[in-house]
Amino acid sequence: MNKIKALKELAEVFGKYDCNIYDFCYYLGLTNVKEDIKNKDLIVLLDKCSELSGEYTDPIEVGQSLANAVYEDKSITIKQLKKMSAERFNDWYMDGREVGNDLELDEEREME
Amino acid sequence: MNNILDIYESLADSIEEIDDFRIYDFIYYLGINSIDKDISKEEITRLINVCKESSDNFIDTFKLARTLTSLVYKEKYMTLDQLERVPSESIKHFYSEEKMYELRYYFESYEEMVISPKEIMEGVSYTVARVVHNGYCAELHYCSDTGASVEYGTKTSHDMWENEVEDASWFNKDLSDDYILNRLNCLYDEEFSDKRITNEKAEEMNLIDHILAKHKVDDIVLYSNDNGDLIAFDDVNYWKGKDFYDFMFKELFVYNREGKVELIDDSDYKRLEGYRKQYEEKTNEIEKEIEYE
Repeated sequence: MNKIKALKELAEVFGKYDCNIYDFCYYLGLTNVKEDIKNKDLIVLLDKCSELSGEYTDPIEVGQSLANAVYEDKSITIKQLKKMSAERFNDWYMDGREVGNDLELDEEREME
Repeated sequence: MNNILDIYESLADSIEEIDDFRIYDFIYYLGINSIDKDISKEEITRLINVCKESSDNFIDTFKLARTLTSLVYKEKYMTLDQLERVPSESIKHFYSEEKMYELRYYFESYEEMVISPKEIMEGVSYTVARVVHNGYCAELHYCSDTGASVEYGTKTSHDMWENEVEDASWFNKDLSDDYILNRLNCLYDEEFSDKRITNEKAEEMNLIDHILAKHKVDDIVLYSNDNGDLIAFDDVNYWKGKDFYDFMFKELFVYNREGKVELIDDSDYKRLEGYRKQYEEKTNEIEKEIEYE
């Protein structure tokens, strides 16, 4: 029951700020992969998480997956990510992000 | 926006200070709390456990917690005990199929006659009637080739029941719909109910069994339903409580010139009268309540 007490206290702190639980989850997912993401990149990433996620995605996992793609696998840049469509993201997310299924903007790569 | 990032950072720091903190528990907690702030800690813990078991990367955890909490505490379609009986695969199934509303009907309750015995034809298999409640089912089947059977079902997931079948030699095509539904309800209670027969009720039923045996009546079966009412069935009739005592005292017993039933000891007769009186009082109370309404 102490655990619930701690959750309650934290929820009270959380309630004092006018912040969105989903944004906070994206934030935790993103910073879990890389703690020192620059604020300007964080803003882009949070917006993108919010745009791309839906009721069939886990918000922390969305943040974590995108941060992984950008900072660990380096399969996509922030600039490319800005142009990512929700459809492309969903295909990637649903199709198993960690089994050789890179998040890439194929068309852009071809053009480059 | 930078301001909100500072807030997130500060909250994340607060989280790190809590021992054994699990972020998902916190999201579930916020979801639960956003529906009902007065849920006890014990029940919150149980709800969090249900959410935890039902979550995966393809479920919005906050939404899941809100939906399940709403189902139990706001819409009240099921109890927390019942929610805990729904397998996580079923919750995931309803979520992924966008059919979370179907959880409302997971423990639906109804009883129905599917076909009246008089309409039964030879050579055809039928489900005659069913009683469904709380994820359990008693279903009467009939086929002229194999006879009647009762199938007892326990719901194990959204699309699966575990079944056990037993003969229903009591069934015949002259039975009324009411008889069948009452008997199925008794069989359902006997199979699935948590309520135990009280000692007093057991003594009453033993006494009646003894008296019926003295009168060489061996085709009457006794049940006590969940309300503690006595129900008796023979091949075609059924009686509830007071009606059964009326049957015994007015039709079954043969009185001698002194007004005594020779086949029964005086003490047994007095006990029986005591039970009968209880049913009469109960019936009078019900009638008074109906008048009052």
